[in-house]
Amino acid sequence: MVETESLRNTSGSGFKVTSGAIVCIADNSTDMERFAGDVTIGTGSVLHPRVYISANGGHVDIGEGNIIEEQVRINNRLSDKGTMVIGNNNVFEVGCIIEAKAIGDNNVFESKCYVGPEVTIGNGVTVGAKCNLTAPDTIQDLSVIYGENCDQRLANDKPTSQASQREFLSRILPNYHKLFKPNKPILETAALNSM
Amino acid sequence: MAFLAQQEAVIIACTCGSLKPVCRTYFCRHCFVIRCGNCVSNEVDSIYCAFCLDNVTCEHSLSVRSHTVRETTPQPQQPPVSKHATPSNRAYYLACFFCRWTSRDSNIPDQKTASGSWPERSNTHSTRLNVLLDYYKSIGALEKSNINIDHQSYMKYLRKPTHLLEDQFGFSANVRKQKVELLKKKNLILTDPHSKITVEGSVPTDEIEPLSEDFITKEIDLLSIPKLEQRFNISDLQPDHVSQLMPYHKRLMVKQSQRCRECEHNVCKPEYNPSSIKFKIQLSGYFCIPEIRIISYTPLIAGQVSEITFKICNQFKESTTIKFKQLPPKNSEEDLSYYKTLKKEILLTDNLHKSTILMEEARIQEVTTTGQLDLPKCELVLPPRDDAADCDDLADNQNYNDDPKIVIWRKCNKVGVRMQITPNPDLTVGSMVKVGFLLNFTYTNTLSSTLENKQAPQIIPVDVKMFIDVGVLSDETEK
Amino acid sequence: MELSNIYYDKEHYVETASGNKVSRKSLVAGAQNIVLTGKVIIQCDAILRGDLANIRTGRYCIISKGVVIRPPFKKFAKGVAFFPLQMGDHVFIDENTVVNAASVGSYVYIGKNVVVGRRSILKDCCYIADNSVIPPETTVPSFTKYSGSPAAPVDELPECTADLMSAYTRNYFTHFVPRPRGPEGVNVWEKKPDIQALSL
Repeated sequence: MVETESLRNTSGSGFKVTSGAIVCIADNSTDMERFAGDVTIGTGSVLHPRVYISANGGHVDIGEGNIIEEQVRINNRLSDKGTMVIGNNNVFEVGCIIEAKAIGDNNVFESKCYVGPEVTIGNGVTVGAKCNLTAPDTIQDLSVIYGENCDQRLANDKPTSQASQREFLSRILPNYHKLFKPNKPILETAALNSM
Repeated sequence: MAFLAQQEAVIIACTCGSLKPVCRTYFCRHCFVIRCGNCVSNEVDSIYCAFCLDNVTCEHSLSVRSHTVRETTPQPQQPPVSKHATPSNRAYYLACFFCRWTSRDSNIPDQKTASGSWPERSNTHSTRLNVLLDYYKSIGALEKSNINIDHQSYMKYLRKPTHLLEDQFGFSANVRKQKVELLKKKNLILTDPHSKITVEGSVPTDEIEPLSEDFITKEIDLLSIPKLEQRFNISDLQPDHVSQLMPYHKRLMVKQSQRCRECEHNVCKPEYNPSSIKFKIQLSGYFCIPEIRIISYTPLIAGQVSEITFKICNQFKESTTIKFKQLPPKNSEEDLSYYKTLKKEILLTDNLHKSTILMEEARIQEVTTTGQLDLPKCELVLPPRDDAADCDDLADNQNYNDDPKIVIWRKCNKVGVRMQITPNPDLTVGSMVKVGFLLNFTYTNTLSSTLENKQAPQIIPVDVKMFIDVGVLSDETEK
Repeated sequence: MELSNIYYDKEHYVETASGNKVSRKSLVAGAQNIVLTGKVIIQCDAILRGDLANIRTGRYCIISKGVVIRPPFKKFAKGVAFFPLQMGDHVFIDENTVVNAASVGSYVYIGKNVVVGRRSILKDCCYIADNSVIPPETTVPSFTKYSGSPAAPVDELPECTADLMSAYTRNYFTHFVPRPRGPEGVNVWEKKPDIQALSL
């Protein structure tokens, strides 16, 4: 119970994880400092270890069924201190930095992409690896941003569903990682990773 | 940190005049001369697809392959593509994982088989192209028929599969010469290939389609217009809507071997298999010429003496003795004798089968040194490369009579050398200090076929011009 | 230019019997699924996702700061499978690179901030320039330098690349040394006896 309280202290009072979401905690306990401010994580979302979410500038509301991979930074830097709403079934791949105003459903953010605070993302959008979106804009549904010059094109259909990957991860990750569970002490089931 | 960039600080002047890092040079063990990519003849050994790494070995499969290559790697926007099967009806379509383009976007019908014959788009100029192609083929046939006169001896010098020697533009320089020699010997008279078929030249036209009326006023939807680059990739169609973008052919890659232009021995010959990184012959300069690297130096100040340390490493399997010499004055006879003229085969344009041999002068790339290196007078002996000794920390036998002022350490085939460097007094702060010297090393020739005396290995001194970018000149006050 | 010494804090690194040096600040998840053959350096903030599938590296692999080594997944009709990731000998991966490849050959150099896409195959002796993006399922053939986004071949590598790479990684390993006690950052020339330490 002592550990739970220390978690509350570091992660702020507003860190809410809906039951059914999987939030991995990396080996060291300081890892919980990754979540700051009011963060809500919806059912069925999977957060890999070493994800950084900062809601110091305002609430961050992450919807259901999202996959957030390691080294992803989600940072609320909205000028009006408003809520940053992230929809459902999005995939955030390794190392992307998200500061978007709002994000819809079924989007894919590939590795090391950057979405700035003036950008609104629709549904079914793919932001390619290392693409930077900085100018104020609304990215229309089914857009694909790709390549060195961040070219844009429209795809015919939305990105393939990641439901099966999410299912696989929610089965496998609890075997290796400590999980953060709402209102419960950290599960000690994990065959804790190493070194 | 870029490991290839590290090699660029030390540059070698090749005997053809170009400047190359040591790893980009070759050392011909028959002429005992440094060569580089500019003064060897390159020959295509094998052709392969970069994506499936499938070796394309004969002309037939080359044409078959060019179809399949197109199928596996189409794209309006470059990246690689793989096939996707929809499980219900097992139809295949092409998809790009980078920009998410699929062949369905361009209304290309799905195929029943994974390597199915994807439709080839028709070219509006195909008739004209066919005429030109026929003309070209007739020339090729004429050439072949002339050679067939003496088929046996023709095959004799082409013991290797011919497709490797001959591309659509003729033979590689080396084979071409052998062929010319043969034809001369046999006194073959070639008929003029241009006499049979003639083609008409293209005629320009003044008729141009007028633009539509709303061309200027119409609102532009940027997402539906292809980029210039995409249009140029399909130059025969020049599509003006993204849905018309078509996959285009990918280029095949080649493995090539290098041959010394003087003695025509191979200096580098890779194995044919595209995924192999082994070599049948590998005479890279990296393995023969002692490698020099800067370890450290004290701040460089114009006109003042600084200290610099080098690591010199012998990668060759025999020991070598090195000496340092000052560069001879520019354009002096001694300086120019370093460079060698090269044989170059020139095809005469009026007759495809006659050639002359010209001597090609070295094209010397000038280097201006901006500092003086105080070179040690003594000789240094470097033991041979020994991979096993690298693991052994105790193997240092210090039986070399080294001047401790010059040699600061020794380890296996490596030696640390200290020298004095004086940047030119008129050099401005922030500019590069460049020094040059002549490195004389001994090359031990153990290749029995070239030895005069079959018993004893031959020791040949070789001169290498080295130029080193030491570093930028610092301000005196910073010291 | 010869490499100068790269210092690390002894208390932040674990050294194994086979000579691997693994930072305590790295994240090695699912360690039972990871094989480091020996003389491998894993620097701080690097992430190895052995929990997803097996990872096997050869000898003299250098995994710099912030690198993510992540076995790739493939979707099938019945679900998802993560595939093991194989890595050859003498592989250098520079800072903040994401490697999602199916296999990485020997003597491979991957620059800074590179994204290597899912299930791509890097053959022996290839070079990925800084800031490149290798699209998923790409094969990078031997002796080529790839650069750009999407990465395309831009240059050929010299024939002696294997020896250059092996010398480079060995050199890196010997120069990767614990920080000596006492004040550091002193110019080598001010304490001459240490020149010996710079030798190879």
